[in-house]
Formats: sequence, structure tokens, C-alpha cells
Amino acid sequence: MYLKKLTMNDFMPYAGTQEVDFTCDPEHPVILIKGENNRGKSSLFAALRWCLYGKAIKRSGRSIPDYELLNDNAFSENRDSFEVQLEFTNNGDNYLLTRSCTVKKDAKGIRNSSSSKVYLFVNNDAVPNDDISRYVNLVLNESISMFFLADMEVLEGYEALVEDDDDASYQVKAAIEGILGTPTLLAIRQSLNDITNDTLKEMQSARKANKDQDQLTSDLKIQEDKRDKAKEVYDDAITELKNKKLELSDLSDKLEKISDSQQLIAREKQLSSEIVRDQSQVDKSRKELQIAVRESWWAPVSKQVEKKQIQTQTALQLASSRETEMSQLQYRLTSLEKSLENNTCSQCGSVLPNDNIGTTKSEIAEIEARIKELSEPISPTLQYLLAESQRLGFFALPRKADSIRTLEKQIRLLLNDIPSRNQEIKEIGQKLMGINRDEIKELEENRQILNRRIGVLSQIMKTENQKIQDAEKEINSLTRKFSNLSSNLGQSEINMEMAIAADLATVMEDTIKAFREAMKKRVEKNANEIFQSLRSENVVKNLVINENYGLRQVDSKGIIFDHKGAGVAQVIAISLILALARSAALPSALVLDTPFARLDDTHRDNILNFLPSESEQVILLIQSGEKISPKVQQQFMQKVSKEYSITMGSNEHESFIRRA
Amino acid sequence: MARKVDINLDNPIKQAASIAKTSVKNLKNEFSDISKEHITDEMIDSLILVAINSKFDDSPLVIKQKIRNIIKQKIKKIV
Repeated sequence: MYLKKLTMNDFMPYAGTQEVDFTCDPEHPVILIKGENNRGKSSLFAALRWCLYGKAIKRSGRSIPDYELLNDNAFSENRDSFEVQLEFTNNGDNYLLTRSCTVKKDAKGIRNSSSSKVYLFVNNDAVPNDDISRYVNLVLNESISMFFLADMEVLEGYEALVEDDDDASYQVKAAIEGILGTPTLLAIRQSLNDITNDTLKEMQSARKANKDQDQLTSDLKIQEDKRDKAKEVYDDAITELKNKKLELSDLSDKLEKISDSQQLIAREKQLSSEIVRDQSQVDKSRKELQIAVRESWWAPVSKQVEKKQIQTQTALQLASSRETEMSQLQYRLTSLEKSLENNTCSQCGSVLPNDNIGTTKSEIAEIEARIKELSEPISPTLQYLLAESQRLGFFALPRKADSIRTLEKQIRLLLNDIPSRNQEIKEIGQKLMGINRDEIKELEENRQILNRRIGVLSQIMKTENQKIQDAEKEINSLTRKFSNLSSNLGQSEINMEMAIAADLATVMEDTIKAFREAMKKRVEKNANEIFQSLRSENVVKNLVINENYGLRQVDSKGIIFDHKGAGVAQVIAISLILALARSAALPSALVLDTPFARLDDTHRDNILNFLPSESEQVILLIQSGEKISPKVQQQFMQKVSKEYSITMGSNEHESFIRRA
Repeated sequence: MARKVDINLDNPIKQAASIAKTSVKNLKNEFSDISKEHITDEMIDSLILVAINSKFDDSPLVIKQKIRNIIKQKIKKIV
């Protein structure tokens, strides 16, 4: 990765829009950025990291909230957003990465939250938002960014590689191996393992296909047998049908010749059948009649009830008339007795003649006799008759007379037809004299049998034809499957692929192991070369690399020698950074923040002499007053392409970066 | 002039090819008969070329397919 241009807008101390052009040529690979302490060197360094990874971290290790990154002057002037844009190239591709942030404040006007956006264009093509982080990390993994964007005042990260075995160290180790190209080899090995697994599955599938093929062959045989058997039955049925139809034709001819007799016989049969049917109906009606008659024993009871009811009504009428008569007689008797007593006429009031007295007395006697007679109770009594009528009412049932009459009529009608039919049968018998009825019957029976057989044969043909069609359909389907299976079977090729992939995977495993060792040795060798060039004394002879790519010193006797000053630690860190840069699969820019902070003059001069040759782009952020010895300065400054200086603006919250 | 280090000229992945070829020689006795016949320096070069040419967007599936094609082509040549 080589940087082309950085544009900051209201980022940290950089108020407004400020640009840094990083383009340089191989003859002049150094970009020098100078500034006083707290003017913005580390902020510019932070701008690079924030733009790439969306994180700004203080040297203390504390991450800085995004809303704190907005320039204070901009915030006080009510500007609420800031942006960093970085243009760079990697492996021939052009990248344009833009990250912006909008800051929000609370009711008291204190900034307290933010939301950010990021865009990436590679060769003018937009990268989907979800992929941006992956793309950036593939260019320069965040874990190893400390080797290329190196803040030389923070050496803990480099020293941790020597001692720590924690996850972070492993991540750095993995990222270093990423620079060296190990993941590519790991991907090849993984692919080979995958191919081995895939081909194994294909082999298993092929074996299964073999089993399936056997099964299909067996199924095909079954279906073919079914079809052949059905065809055989079908053909037999056709042959038999033809024969039966011929027989039927012969038989029909014979029956045609005796069709008159046949008709008479048929009529005779019909009549007989009708007689039997009517006789059966008569029998049935007779049984119903018997039942109706049996059920009609209730009839006398009904008659008795009816009689009693009439008797009761008569008695009631009699009682009523007797009562009326009694009343009239009582009235007459009273009048006559009064008349006799007063000797006057009861009607006209005139004096009765003597002759009439006797008559009156006689009439009184008659009336009294009649009253006496009327006072006698009716026999049977009215109460008895009423009670009896009510009791018998419970036994009253509908009478069966109508039903009996209908049945009797039906039986008569049926019996009437039987003699005429018998007569017709008799006449037919006379006409059929001399005709062999058994022969006709046999012929007729044969025809019926033939017709039935023809029906059966037609059904057989239909069924067998369906079986043939089903079997053919199944055979077609099985053949297709068989064909597919056959085309999938390339067992020998799959087997070869599997064997080769498996052995290649073993080769790659071995290669990766050896490659890692070689790369470590290579980094160690490079680091030693660089270290030898940078060191200023002879106390330490060499560096040795550990599993984590951490570097340790060994003395002249090869014994590990960990007692080192801050300056030496920094030289070792720079040695590792440069060694990795030399060993990397893809070249990259080196951005070093305050690389000379802990170094003495000799080390500083050595590094200044050495750095320009280690990368095609070296960006150094150094203090304005950094002392550079005259003998180095002239040579070093010849390598500088551009020089920038960071200066304070109108207040401490404002810095400007300008070409010097 | 800035030393153009040995990065481009001496790509580590390219070095892996020579390591792998050595590994093939060392492991050949353990190979199956098929592999003994088919795994050659040419195949290793092809394999490493896939590694060198792999891009960001190359999914594991793409790499796998490329490698499988190399193996298949080799088999076809023999068959």
C-alpha cells in the first residue's frame, strides 16, 4: 500500500479543509512532516488510522470517542461534522476511502454522540458498505498496521510479541504471516482438503450409484417381466376372443334359423314367468288378507261400543223427555189439587160443577200413577251406560274392512288373468310340437356363455393392455435413471483426483510448515542485517526470532540477553518493522511517528541513513527541532520528496499543515 | 535511489514453490501410485500460480475449482 493523498476536514486540530500530498518518486521516497509537540503530528497519524479502521487511539491505549475528534473551533462555530479522505494504491489498484462523522450534542450543548459513514471506491467502483472493512483489512490488516503505521513512542506492542502468548499476540502473528503470504498457502491446503472430501463424497455417491444401478437393473427386469407376461396374456386373450366371436357367429346363425320357435319359446317363457309372478303376488295378497281378517276381531268390540253409545244417547233422550213430562205432570197435579180444594177451575177460575170433581180426582190419580212410573230408574241406569260407553271407547280401532275389500279385489283380478295365460301357453305348446326344445335351449345357453366369455376376454385385454402401458412407462423412467447413473460414473477419475488431492494436501502441509520456518528465518536474517546496520555498539551481537515473530537479543555467546535500554528496544522494533517490510509479499509504505524519540544521535543518524532505502515511500513525522548531524543531513535531505510543517493557527485548537 | 528491496523480485510465495517441490521429493515414497505418477513440478508450479494470482474476491470455492481443474487436466493428459 502506498499513500497518495490525505484530506482532513475539521479533524482534531485541523480546522477547515487541509490536504497532504504523499506522492513521491523512488529517487526521493521520503515525506517529512515536522511539528512541535502537541501541534498535530500524532493527530495526523490518528487521521490515517481513523480513516482506515474507524478508530482513533491515544498513546495511553484509550480509544477516543468519535465526537471528540471534531475540531473545537468548528464545534464552537456550530459545524457538526468532520471527514477524512485517503487516496492510496495497492497492488496496482486505486483506492479512495472516505470516512465522515456527524456529532450530536445534548440540551446543554455538550457533544455526546455521533454517527459515521464510510465509502470506498476501488478503481472508481463502489465497494458495498458491508465489504469495506474486509477490503481495508486485506490491504493492511489492522492487527499488523503497527508495523507500517508505527508510533515509535509506543513500543509495548512490539515487545509483547516477545513475551505474550495471548490472543492479541496470536492475531499479530497471524497478521504477520498474512504479510508474508502464509494464508494464501493455507487457502491452497484447505482447498486441497476440501477437494479430497468432495471427491470422497463423490466416490461414496458413485458407490451408492452402483448399488442404485443394481437395484435399477433388478427393477427393470421385474418391469420387463411384467410387461412380457401382460403381453402374453393379452395375445392369448385376443386369440381366444377371435375364436369365441367365430363361435358366437355360428351360434347366432343357427339361432336365426329357428327364430320363430325361439320367439314362441320366449313368449311361453314370458307367460310362465308372468303366471309365476302373479301367483306369487296372489300368495302375498292372501297372506296380507289373512292378517287383515285376523286383526279385524276388534270389530265386534267396536260394534258393541257403537251400540252402547247409541243406547246411551237414547237413554239420555228418554231421561230428558221423562224429566220434561214429570215436570209437566207435577205442575198439572198441583193445579188439579188446588182446583179440587177450592172447587174452582184451575184454568178459568169458575166454580167446578159437581160432575167434574170426580173427573179431577180421577185425573189426579192418573197423574200420580204416571209420576210414580216416571220416578222408577231407567234400566240399565244412565250412569252405568255413560261409564260403559267411556270404557269401551278405549278399545275402538280402525276397522280393516277397506283393506280386506281391496285385497280381495286384487286377488280376484290376479286370478282372473292366470287362466288366459295358461290358455296361451297351451296354444304355444301345440305350435311347438315336433321342435327340439332342448337343442334351442342349449344353443341359447351356449350363446349366453359365449357372450359372457367375450365380455371377460374384453376386460382381460383392457386390464393387460393397461399393465403393458404401466410397465412400459416404468421401464422408460428406470432407463432414464439408469442412463443418468451411468453418465455420473467416472469412478476411476474421481479416485485419481482424490488420491492426488490428498497427497498434495500433505505436500502443502509440509510446505507451510517449512515455509513458516523459512519466513521466520528470513525475517530474523533481515532483522539482524538491519539491526547490525542501525546499532551503535558491539554489546549485542544478534537477534533471534520466536514463534510470535518477537525479536530477542543474544550476546556474543548466543545467550539470550533481555536487558536493553529504551533506545535499543526502539532499534529492535524498527528492525522488525523493516524486516517485515523486506519480507512482505506485497511492498508497502512506512509511516513512522516520532521514530527518534528515544534514540541517541548515533542511532538517529544510522536510521536516517538507512530508512530511505527500505521502502519506496517513507513518511516520517518528526519534531521540528530534531537534531540531525550535518554529515547525515545532506545525504538524507536528498531523499526527501516533500516536506511539510505543522503550525499553530489563531489559537491552540487550530493547526495548519503546509508545504515547507 | 531507493533500494527496491527483494520483495517483488523474490516473492515469498514463489519461494513456497521450491519448498513444495522439495517436499514432493521427500514425501514421494508415501504417495499413492496415482500421485507418484501425476504430482510433478509442473503441477506444483500451477498450484503456486493459483496462490499468487488469488485476489480479494476469490472465494474458497473459486480457488478450489481452479485447483481441481489443474488436477483434472493432468489426469486427462495421462488418460
